[in-house]
Amino acid sequence: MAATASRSHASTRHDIFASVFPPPSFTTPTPETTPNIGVLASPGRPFGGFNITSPVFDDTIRFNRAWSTATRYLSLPLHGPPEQQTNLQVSHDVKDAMYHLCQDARTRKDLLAWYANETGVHFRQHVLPKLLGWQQPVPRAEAQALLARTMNVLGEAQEHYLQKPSALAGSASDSISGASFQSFRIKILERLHVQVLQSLPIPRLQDTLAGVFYQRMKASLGNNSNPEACLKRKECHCSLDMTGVPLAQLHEIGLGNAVAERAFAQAMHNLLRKAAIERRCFQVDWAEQATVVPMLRDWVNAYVTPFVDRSLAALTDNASPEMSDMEAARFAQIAVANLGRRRTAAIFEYVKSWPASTGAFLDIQEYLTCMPHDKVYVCDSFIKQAKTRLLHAGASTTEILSIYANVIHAFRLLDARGVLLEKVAHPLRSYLRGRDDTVAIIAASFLADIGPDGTLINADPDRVCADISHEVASSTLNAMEKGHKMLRFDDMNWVPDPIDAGPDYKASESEDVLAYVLGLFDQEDFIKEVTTVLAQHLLQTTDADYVKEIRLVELFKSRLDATKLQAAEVMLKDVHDSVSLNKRINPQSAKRDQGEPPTPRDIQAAIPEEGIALHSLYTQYEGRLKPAQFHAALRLVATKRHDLYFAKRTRLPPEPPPTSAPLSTAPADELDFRVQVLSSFFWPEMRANDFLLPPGFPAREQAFRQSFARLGNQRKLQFRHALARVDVRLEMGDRRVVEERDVPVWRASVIDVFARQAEGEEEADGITAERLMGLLRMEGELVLDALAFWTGKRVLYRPDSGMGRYAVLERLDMDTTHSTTTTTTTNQPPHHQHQQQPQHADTMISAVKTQDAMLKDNAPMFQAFIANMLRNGGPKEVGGVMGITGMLRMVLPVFTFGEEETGWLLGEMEGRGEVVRRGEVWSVGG
Amino acid sequence: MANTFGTMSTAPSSHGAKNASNPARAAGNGNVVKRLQSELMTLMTSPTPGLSAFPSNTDITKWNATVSGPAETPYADLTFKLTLAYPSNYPYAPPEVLFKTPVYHPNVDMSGRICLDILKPGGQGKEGAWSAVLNTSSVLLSIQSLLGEPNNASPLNGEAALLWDRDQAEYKKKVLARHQEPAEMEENGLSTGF
Repeated sequence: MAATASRSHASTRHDIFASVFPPPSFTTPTPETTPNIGVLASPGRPFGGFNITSPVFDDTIRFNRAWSTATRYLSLPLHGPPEQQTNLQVSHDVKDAMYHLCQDARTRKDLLAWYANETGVHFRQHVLPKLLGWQQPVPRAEAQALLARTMNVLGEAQEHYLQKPSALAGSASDSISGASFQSFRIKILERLHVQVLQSLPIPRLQDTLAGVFYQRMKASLGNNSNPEACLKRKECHCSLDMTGVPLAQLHEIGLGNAVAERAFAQAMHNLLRKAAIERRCFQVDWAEQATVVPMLRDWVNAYVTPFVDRSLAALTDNASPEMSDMEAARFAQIAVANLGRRRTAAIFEYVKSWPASTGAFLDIQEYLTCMPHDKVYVCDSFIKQAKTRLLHAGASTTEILSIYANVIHAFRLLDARGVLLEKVAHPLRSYLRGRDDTVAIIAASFLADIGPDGTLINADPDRVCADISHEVASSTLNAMEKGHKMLRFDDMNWVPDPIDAGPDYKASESEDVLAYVLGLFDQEDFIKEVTTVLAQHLLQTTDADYVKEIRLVELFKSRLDATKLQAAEVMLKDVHDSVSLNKRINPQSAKRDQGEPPTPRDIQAAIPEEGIALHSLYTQYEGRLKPAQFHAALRLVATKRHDLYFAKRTRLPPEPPPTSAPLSTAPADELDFRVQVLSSFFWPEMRANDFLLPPGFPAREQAFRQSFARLGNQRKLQFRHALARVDVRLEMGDRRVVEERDVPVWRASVIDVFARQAEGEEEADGITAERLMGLLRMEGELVLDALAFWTGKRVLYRPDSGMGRYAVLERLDMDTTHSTTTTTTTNQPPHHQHQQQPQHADTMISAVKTQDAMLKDNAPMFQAFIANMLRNGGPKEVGGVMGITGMLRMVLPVFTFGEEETGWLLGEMEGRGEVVRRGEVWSVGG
Repeated sequence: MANTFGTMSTAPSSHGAKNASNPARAAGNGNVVKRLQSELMTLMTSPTPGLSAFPSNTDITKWNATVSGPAETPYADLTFKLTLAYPSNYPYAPPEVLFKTPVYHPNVDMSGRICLDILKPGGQGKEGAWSAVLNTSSVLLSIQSLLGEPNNASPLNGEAALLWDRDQAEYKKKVLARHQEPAEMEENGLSTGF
């Protein structure tokens, strides 16, 4: 207390001194620098002639006096820190002078200009150096601190500059002078604010402010949010505030108003674009698969709009800047649009994870309803993402197809009329058309088996698209029977064609995925491919009723041109006829259709250590054993605990000793021999390799031929041995029984050679592949496949001294060269999982000839055609209607290849000098 | 001379099978197409040396053929271009065969028409010897042998018939003077086929 008193005393004294001894560097007020030396006495006065009072002269003096007094009072100490003068006494002459000056607008303006200059000089010298931080870019981390410092410095400076004007205003004796002093103060304040804004880089200031605002809002959102509660209640209660940023103070020091408002708007924009909608509350609803947009709208209305009102009020010192309803709705719209864009940015992911991502698509749908012009944006984003992420060599065709199916679902949700779908599907479709294997995969997918849980059964995931298979399984046959839309006058759901559709838009008649998938290709191409796959499938299927295949062909007939599916129908009829034919020719075979019933020992062996449910165990023997028999056998060998069956440890009654022969094909007359009679004209080209069959087969073939003829068939039979499949049962030396069902017959032929060789005790050290090829007159490819298969099954092995020979692995320990799996398990019976997985040769060697093989096989004939064409028709190009490819396709129905293959043929011929190429044109050589 | 041939190549034939030139029926008759396809296949898979034929464009009833002159005749080492047009009732009517290459021969006239019995409709009451068992390959083979063994009893080109008997050297000179190889014909702006 004493200190301040003495200090104020000292400062008063300082004023006294200062009035006598002006401070050295002080720019002295005008009258003293140019002292008024008075005027000469008027010459007229002695005569008393003109009694003129001189008001101008008087005013000048008064003005000068007042100016001098006021400026001396107002002038700022230019050195040192601003002094804290708590108790400013304003003397009467100062008040009078100020009053005098403030009365007149002109003088007041001069005084303001002077004071502005005074503060400007001070500001530049003492304040600006403290704000140097604004001269370079402001790092985000320092923004808050810099802003606080700036507000501090500016606040102090402002207080300093306003100290005297405020004291003046406070000490006004009457209301008139008070009002004029107050307005003087306000004018000074405005000028100060202008000065502050002029001395700081506005854009940077605005950005920094926006950054700080944004950080604050985000932080407050983070602090106040409770996503769990929000999600539980299905509405968001995360509030916004601006604690930490004194908005009112900003306004006071001159950083409010336009700059801050713009900064606030910027921050708000960012908030709605990022932080607000990225929060947990507005994430894609994966669980309930609903849209979050209503929640977002509610939140904006309940929290954002009031917050904006509050903040703007503080920033502008305007008590009620109420937003209109329209502006509030606009906020909600912006938020929804941003949410939609955000979803769109990841739209490819959502398509991929369809249908779990239904929520995201509902969000986008809401977004498109509120911003209809952004449809293009959504389509473009998807196409762009698909192009970079999907439509390249790295993506497998099955993947693309399954995404295509998802796209169809997802975009149909966005726009039920399919306009958007047409737009986004186009690039996918054209890309899929360019892929060679698309048709084959689609056809295979139509025939694949789908388990109850939607996974593929027994199918190569690279060749079959599970989504399409699923669609097939769930589709209805009569999807196409809706009739023409325009003709149904009582259709209450009729809508006109969308206005934003392209000129080639036509309402799709069927709305399901299959229609789109089938529409990918030319019907003829597709049917051809389907026929091939169907042929393969019919030959391999075990279902004697062909339920699935019939359904599929019916499905195709309902969607494709039924007349073109003649081949498929004939194929179906062929296999059906074959079933009944076999029954007639071979009546007793039907009884053994399902294979031998299993022995209790087999069942015991099939029970895994961790137990097995009754049903899944029985499925293995379904058809081979009646349920009652099965139960009896099971009770013998297994115990039941908690619905699971476990193998009993007790010994089983001995079974009849197995036959001693290493290989026992069942006795000849019990051989179950079935033939499928196919109409070669309607079936695709089949593999026609021929070789010797195990003994017993040729005689049966002959017998079948005769019975077939006896039944009145005129057709000529030609046996395709390479397509035959057999069940093989091998009994090895260590009593290990190898049973294989549905083995291609060439494998049986090969193993049969080994069996007979073992009986004959000759060439005991094995047989080479070359010798097998000679013995069986079989192609190398098939022999090697069979050897690989049986080696994989550990039936054959290659002895150390083998020199490329193969021998029968009668006991597992004979194979010393084998890999580590046997060395670790030599003393244990071989478990199934220790055996090498056999190669899936079925996929490598298929029954139907591949296109490539057809091309290679027929190359000489095709080339003869080309040579003759060029000789007689003159030089031709490869492409075009009258080009080589087109002509070949026309004159030669077998030729189903493209220009690429023609090019290959021509290349070979060119190598032999048969043709010559001149530019694009080929002509006959020599 | 060259112009004459160019314009005459479209001259209507004196023989029947007028509708062969009507393209509207080209795809109409499946049997003809099937027969021609199988003939083509035989021709390609078991070619006869010196003969070749191939459909000229998308219409499979119009073929171009190439025949090389038989050895040890005035026509040796020469290449002849022909066109074959099949009527819609082929093989019950003969194809219409024309030489596109100018030929000096007793049984070939200036516009390339050929006087050959098997190219005329056969059957009862007709003078021709066409039969449905004949095919493209046999027709071309007959024409090839006709080159070496002209039928001078009914010549279209009397001078050639006379010269054939009298002066083989002069005959050969005339043949070579008239003949144009396919490449030359193309240079002269003559068509070698349809």
